[in-house]
Amino acid sequence: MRWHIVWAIARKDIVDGVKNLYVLFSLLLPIGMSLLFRLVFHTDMTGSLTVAVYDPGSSRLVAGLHNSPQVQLIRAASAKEVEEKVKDRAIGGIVIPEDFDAAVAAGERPILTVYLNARRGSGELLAFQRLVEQQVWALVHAELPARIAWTDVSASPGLRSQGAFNFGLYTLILMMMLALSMTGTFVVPLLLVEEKEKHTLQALLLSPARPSEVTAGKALTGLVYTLLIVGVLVGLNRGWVGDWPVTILTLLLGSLLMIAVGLLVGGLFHTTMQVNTWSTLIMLVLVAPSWFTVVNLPVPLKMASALIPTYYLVEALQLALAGEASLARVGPHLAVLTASTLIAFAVVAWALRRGER
Amino acid sequence: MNAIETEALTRAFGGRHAVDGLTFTVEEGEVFGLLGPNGAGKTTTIRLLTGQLRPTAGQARVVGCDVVSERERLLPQIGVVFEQQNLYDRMSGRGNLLFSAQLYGVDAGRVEEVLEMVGLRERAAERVRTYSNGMKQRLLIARALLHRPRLLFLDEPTKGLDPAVARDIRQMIAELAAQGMTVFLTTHYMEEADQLCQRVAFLDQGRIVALDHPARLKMSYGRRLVHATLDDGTQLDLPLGDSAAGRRLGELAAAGRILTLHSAEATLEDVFIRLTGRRLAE
Repeated sequence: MRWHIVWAIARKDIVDGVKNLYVLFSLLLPIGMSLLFRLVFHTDMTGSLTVAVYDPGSSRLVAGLHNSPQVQLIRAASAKEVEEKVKDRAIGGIVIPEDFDAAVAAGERPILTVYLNARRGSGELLAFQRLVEQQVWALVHAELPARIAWTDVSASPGLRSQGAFNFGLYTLILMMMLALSMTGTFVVPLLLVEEKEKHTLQALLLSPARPSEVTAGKALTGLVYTLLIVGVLVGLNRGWVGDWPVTILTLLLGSLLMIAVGLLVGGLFHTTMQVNTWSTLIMLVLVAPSWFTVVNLPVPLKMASALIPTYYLVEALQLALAGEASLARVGPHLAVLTASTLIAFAVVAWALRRGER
Repeated sequence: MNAIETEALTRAFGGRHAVDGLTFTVEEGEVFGLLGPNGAGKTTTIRLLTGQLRPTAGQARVVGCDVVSERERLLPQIGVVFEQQNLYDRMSGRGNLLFSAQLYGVDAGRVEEVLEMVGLRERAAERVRTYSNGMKQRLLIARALLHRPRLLFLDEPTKGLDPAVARDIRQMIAELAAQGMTVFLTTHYMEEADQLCQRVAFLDQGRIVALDHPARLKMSYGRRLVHATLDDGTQLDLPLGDSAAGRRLGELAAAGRILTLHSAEATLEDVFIRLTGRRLAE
């Protein structure tokens, strides 16, 4: 493999590819969807809690909230404004009396008015309630005498097993899966098929570039696009949470798997129309496991879902983002994902050799 | 030394022979034309000689390389101008050439050199999709020459171009030939072959039916005629070297009945029709 040729092809495609409207749409769709989610659900996807506070007496409670990494504080000028902020976008709001700290210290049990936004889901509300209680206890330098394990019986088993996982992270996974599959199964084959349609592939294959180098160039382009889009998604949604090195490794393996599938589609078909039709079907199958994360599937469907390699990608991402990616838990998922990726690339190599013969 | 040598070169698609037992040579520095109507096997021949297709039977050596087993050594030594204008049309003319230069390991200075050579330097920064067909064709030639190939394949280089542009392209090919470049040209335009080629081969249904210098072919297969138009509008073709026809021409001239008189040499088209019973443009 001559990497200067591979890089020349990739560099050409990275710059020229985005001028193709199909490619541009495929790349921007996950980002657009992500922004739409944020707009519709008024939430970031990392599970951070937006809390409005009216604190005329500069309470230590606010300092405590401020130091909590998952809390985003909004200062309000009145109790009325706190209520408005909660109606608008905050998960909750706290109105702290002016002499609150002194009253607590004196053991007077003052009243703390807390506003809740029930539209935000029980998981986030529960987290907010616990947070407020913890911070109030902290005012008297005390903690709950026991650690309580909360379990939401209405949530799916997949989500329930992963403590810090929430709806925000679920949607982040959905968007990342969309980005991986759009880039892998749409963009990569489109790059190949466009060369066929415009007969530029013929010229490329009469240059010193070998078929394997052309293929590697397309794969590298797909990888760069994927990492760029996923990076934007993670940045937009502040997704650097949990075991992020495992998240990166999982995304890398996932994108290689999708790219290999894309190379096969691009090798098989000859027109953009064919790619659009078949890639849609393939993408639906590959993304399906990410939809099932929050649904309690019947056992046969669950088993069928486990036959799709991306099932393990979704499982590994969940564990990594929830910060529970121990080797014992995430290892088997990554092993299946690695094996699937290697098999997919082996098929690509076989198809290439067959083509050369 | 021969730039191209083929021996019984054959390519079949299914049961049909697109190229059937071609045996010929092209000398270094020669402009060689392969003439034939659409579907005669011209493009298949080029694809075989450039290693894009494997022969079903027979063999070919191009610039000393076997087209099957030494393809990687062959490719940097040849330049190909395809029938389709296969350029990256969202990229600029210069961008297309710079990309090819990176593949061939050619420096950027050479890109400017070939742009100058084909007269595209002024428009090199513009997107190829804004180029006319003639400009695209010149850019294709520039791309084929970028890495200084020993042999240039031109597949129907003037097809679909307007006459003035086609004349410019032919002029460019003639200049390359004058510099000693070996050119293998396919065309179905007889004037093009006549004007440019030192030798031509007629290809019909995948077989070479004649191969020689254009002038010799015309001499061998053409009929030498005098074409006369008489005062009553009658058109007459009188063969030269025929005594009866000579006497008749003398009588008509003496009677003052000849309005115009032209020599009517055979064209390559006439030769092709005589050999195959079909026209080149079919």
